[in-house]
Amino acid sequence: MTAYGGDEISAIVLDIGSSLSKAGWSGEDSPKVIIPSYVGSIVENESKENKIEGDVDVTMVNADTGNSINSSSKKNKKYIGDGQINCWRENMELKNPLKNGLIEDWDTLESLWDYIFNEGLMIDPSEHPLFVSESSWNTRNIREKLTELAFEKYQVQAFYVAKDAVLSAFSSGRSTGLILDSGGGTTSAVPVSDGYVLKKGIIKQNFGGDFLSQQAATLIESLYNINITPRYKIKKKNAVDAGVLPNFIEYNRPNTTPSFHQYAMNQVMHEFKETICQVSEHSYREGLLKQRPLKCYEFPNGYNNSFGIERFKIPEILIQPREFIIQNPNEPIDTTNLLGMHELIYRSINLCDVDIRPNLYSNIVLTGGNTLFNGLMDRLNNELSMLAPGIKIRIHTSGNTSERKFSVWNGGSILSSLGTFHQLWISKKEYEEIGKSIVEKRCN
Amino acid sequence: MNLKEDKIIVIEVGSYITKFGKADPLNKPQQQVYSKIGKNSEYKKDDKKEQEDKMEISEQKIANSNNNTKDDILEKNDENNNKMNIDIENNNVPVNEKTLSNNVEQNEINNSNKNEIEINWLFKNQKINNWEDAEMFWKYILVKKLQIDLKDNISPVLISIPIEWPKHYRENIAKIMFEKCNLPALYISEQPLMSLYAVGYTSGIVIDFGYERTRVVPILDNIINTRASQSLPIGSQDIDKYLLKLVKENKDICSKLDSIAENEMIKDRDELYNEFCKSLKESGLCELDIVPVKNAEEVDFIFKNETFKIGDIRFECFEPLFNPLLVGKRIQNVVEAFETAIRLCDLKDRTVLASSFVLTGGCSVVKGLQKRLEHEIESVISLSETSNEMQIKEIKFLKIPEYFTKMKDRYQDLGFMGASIVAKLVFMDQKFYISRDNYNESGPTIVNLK
Repeated sequence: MTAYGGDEISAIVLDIGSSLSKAGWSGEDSPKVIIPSYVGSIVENESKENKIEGDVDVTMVNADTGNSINSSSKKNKKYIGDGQINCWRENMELKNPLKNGLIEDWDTLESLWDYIFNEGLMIDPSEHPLFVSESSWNTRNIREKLTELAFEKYQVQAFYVAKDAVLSAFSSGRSTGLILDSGGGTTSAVPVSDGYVLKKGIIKQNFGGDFLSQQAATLIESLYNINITPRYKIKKKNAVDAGVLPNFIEYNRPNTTPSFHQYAMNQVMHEFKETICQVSEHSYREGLLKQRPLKCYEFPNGYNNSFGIERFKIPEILIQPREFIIQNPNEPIDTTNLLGMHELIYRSINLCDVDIRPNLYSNIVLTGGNTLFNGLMDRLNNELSMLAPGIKIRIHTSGNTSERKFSVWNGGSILSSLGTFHQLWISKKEYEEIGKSIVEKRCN
Repeated sequence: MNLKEDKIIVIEVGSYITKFGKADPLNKPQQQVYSKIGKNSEYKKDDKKEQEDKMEISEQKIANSNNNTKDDILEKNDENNNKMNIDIENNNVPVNEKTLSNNVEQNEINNSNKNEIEINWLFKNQKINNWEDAEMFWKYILVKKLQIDLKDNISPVLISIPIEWPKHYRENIAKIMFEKCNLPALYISEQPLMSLYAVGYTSGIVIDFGYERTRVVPILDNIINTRASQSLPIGSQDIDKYLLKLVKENKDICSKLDSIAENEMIKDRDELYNEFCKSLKESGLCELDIVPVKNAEEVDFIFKNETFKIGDIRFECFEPLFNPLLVGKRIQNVVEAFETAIRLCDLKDRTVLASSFVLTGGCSVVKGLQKRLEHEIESVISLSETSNEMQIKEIKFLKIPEYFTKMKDRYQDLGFMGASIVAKLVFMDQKFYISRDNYNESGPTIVNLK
């Protein structure tokens, strides 16, 4: 087993999440490339002349967008990165490689990897070892396929897959703990003991920050009788008084795909949610919360108002999903099995052996962008004390707010740069001798 | 090691022009060179032979060859150096120069043996395509242009690079600079940060209107937020193409230019058009207004002793910056890029960033750019009084400080100015810069630490 790493060759650490993808070199303290995990694609016929809306009739010849990667078979232009996917294009679909935390769309994943290696890091992957993170509930098939992809297509020198909960634990300096990870797509409670995930204790739910934003949109639209307009539609807005209907000029954007529209709406509501929403530190009591000061917010279309109780109602979904989820009559959501974050933690710990439970309770780690709400940590402390009275409960969070979004990546960077880790890599030679089943033995 | 202050060199790398000279923030960059290298097809064959044989270059061969291994350069004495480089210019490595006195020294090669010369833009697409060419280019700057003796080099260099260059580029640069150019000290800095320092701030948004790309870079407390930085593939080269298109559509101007071409027996019409467009752009007649003005007043413009009437073209020329569709690019415009960039910054920092805008780069000197930007950004920031305190309400542009009297309004040189300021400070104290001893101990990875 050859040792990799050291000063000469730096490993690449890659963490593809449901909303953000992070990549960078091992040993560094923050990822170099952070892009949304969406790939915009238009299936285009190059000979067709497109009439583009706007003032000028222009035939689209050689539209060089700088980051487009042409796939060989169809004329399929791909757009990756914040600047590209936020730009409105007719018929551009936004695709996400992950669904419910597991990789489903392999083409999209390959496009993301291509972009990260070529444009983001500007390296040749065949010269470096690759360290990839995976969901704690990842299946054997996906793991093996990932190994195949890395070695066969990208020809990496060495490869390793690690569970994201373990990496989050490492980045907070512990090898045992209960990791509550709430990101864009999923919320999960995963117990980790001595660097190994206790699979029987994993509980996950398929909603996260994106779902909260959608709920926020529904709530605001119904309460205030307005339509929230995403940014790509706004040409020019005028100032209006508080509470008055917005007054703005719209662009004519035909053939907008629903995925693009949904993404743009999510972005608007993310802003709203991050600016003014917070979690009530004590249990939710509407009377008391209505007395809290109001906060103003202006939407991109100019509509502005002061918001009071809505600020608390929206994140309350994380604690009491069954009561606070607003149902859409067209697509009803089954809320009977949904749990609040504190219940997730409680149940997850109870599924583990009695001996380690105190250790887990005193090492709860909150990670993921969705946990950045003000007041969430206090609330969880209070709720957990009620569920598990008498036990010492300590919830840890990363001090730096932006680090919480990258804790998995950070852990990967730490782990892959440790001296003792170097013998664990799966080298190219081993893969060629044994085949993809080696990943199950080494990385599980 | 004592580094002499008056020997400090600053090199600012760009995809179109590389500016360099002694570190002097009070004056314009002394020299600038197009970032391109031309190779004669003969050169390629000789090149291989040179490297294989590793012979001393005899006087005869100097006339034909261009490449020198590191040993050769260090072994040669000054006389030979100069001779070799002169021959480089006359024969086989023409690098178009443009001194600031605006006397364009056209290299003879470019006019005559155009077919045989293969011109490579060195830093195209923000990547270094060929490291050997880059090395030759930097050596050319140091040896020929700045008259530095590479054998006994006492000039520390600060090199200012684009933010996209990854860390292994920096390591390679350090390698070239220390091993091939024999520098005593080196410091690598990033261009947007330098532009910000030139106006005296440590936090702000720098918008760099470059040749290939327009970059919006938020900087907070001396740290560039690379994730939030946006880079749009639209720049001066697109403006040039668009202006050419506009000129060709204007029949009056075309007919006049054609008659000039006939009178002066110029075979290449396109070159004449390009020259016209270039001088029009640089004349300062082109402006940006809040909306593209139609039926604008016609202004006289004199080119080659003929008077041209320039009307709407003046106002339409720089429009592609705000409407990239005009050049066929479906991408975000500057304002949308700003919006994307600011949204990726922390909430608390946004108002601070918005009150410190710095415009730099070639196109930033267009009249009316600030007004237009302010007007367009209104649709992106919050207008009402009842918006959250963390939402941006207004933007403010930063000016070059008054004590830089000669640099007033020279926003395109902000990068070089800032780099000069930093160069004068950083080479004072050993712990900031990378010295030759540091490099010899730790190798190229030292750039990641300093």
